[in-house]
Amino acid sequence: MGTYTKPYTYVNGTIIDATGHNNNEQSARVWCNDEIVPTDIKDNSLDRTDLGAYRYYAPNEEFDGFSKTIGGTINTTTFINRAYFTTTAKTNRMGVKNVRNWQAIPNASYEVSVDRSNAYFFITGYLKAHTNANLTGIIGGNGQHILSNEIKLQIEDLDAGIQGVSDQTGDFVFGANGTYDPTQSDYDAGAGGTAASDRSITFSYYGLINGKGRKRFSIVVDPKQEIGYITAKTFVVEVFYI
Amino acid sequence: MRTSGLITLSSKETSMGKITKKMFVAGDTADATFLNDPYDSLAGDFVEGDNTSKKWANRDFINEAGGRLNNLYHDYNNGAVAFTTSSTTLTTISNGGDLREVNPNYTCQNDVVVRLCANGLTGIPRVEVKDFTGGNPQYNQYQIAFKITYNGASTKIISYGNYSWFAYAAACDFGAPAASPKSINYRNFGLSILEPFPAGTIINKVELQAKVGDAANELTILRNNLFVVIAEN
Repeated sequence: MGTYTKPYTYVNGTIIDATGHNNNEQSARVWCNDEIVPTDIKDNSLDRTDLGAYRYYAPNEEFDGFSKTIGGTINTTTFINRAYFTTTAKTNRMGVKNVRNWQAIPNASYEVSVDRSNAYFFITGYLKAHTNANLTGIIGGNGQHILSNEIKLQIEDLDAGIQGVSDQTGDFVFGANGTYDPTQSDYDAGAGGTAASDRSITFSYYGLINGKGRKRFSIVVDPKQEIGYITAKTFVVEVFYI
Repeated sequence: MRTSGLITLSSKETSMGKITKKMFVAGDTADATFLNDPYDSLAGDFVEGDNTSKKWANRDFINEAGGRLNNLYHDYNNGAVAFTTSSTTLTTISNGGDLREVNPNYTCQNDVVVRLCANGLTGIPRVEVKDFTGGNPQYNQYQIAFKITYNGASTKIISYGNYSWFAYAAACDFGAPAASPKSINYRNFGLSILEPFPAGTIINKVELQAKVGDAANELTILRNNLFVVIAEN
């Protein structure tokens, strides 16, 4: 497209030239129907609202912008107070080695609806995790050993009924005190005292999730500790369509 | 009956351009200025904000096979083969020879913002030197950072993240090692930063690197990921 040049100029007192007039009409028609190129567009001519139908939910300080948009973001910056997890097993292995008992943390999940099959998700979060002292046994000293509470991101395809946890996001918070069983090769918090029972956790997840429809992302914990809680400081889900 | 007059077609809902056009009626003189107006204004106009309605453009208008607004790169290792280092200079994290790096080799079309994010989990370290004094990072710390290689040979190290080996702040001197606490194991680290680059820059590679403050200490890294977005402005 580029620059338009008028072929014929009208002058007062001069009979209009039919060919010149037709050339003006024809060139204007071609120019207007040709392709728009970057030089035809003034800087900053497109506002963000032109590109995305973003909605703002004031109560939760959340944004979303998915349908037909370039990308989408949903996030929270309001922390969620003390969402508790618990286990009644009070043992180091929940009874059986490698058994997982993932519990979703209340209010620390988002549901996203995507309208394109190939959408890339980027999810980041910052959490504060805490466990209380386990009451079944107290052995202090070098490390608190096997009372590891594993925290991950759970991904669900709600339409297909598929559920899984992401290995990209495994983190731990440990019991303040616990029974040490040297025959079990499990995670060792290492530090003495109570430091391992309060941990800042950041995680990031990236993945191509096929299939349109609803997905849900949740922070889940596999608790081996009696009682604990997680405070989600930030939790951001971004969708890239391109 | 219409009256003659000069009409500016500028309603953003009904017209793309602000084209001036006199609507002639019978008896009007075909003044040259009015005849020239549509073509002169056509030559001088841009598509701009008031030509476009809200939400006029969406994903359907974009050729997704062409250049992209967001260019995504990701690298992940589950840490089944741990990375260990006692290097006091930054070394690219490598799990069993699998380097933590992405290679965009991307030529920036406009001014861009490169967004970098990394996350990982440490294993059980070996901590021999617990004194904080000296070193960069200090002896009792380890460090994670991004290394960006651009325009072939230029490099930039950014977003240093320093972590203590044990449950005290960095500037603590515990004296004899025997008086010191044990290390923090299975600890999470995370980095995030934005870095702008001008148009024309070739962004070749982004690496996730680590080092320790003292060579007697050894860092172990398990699962980790690196995520890069090159966003065109």
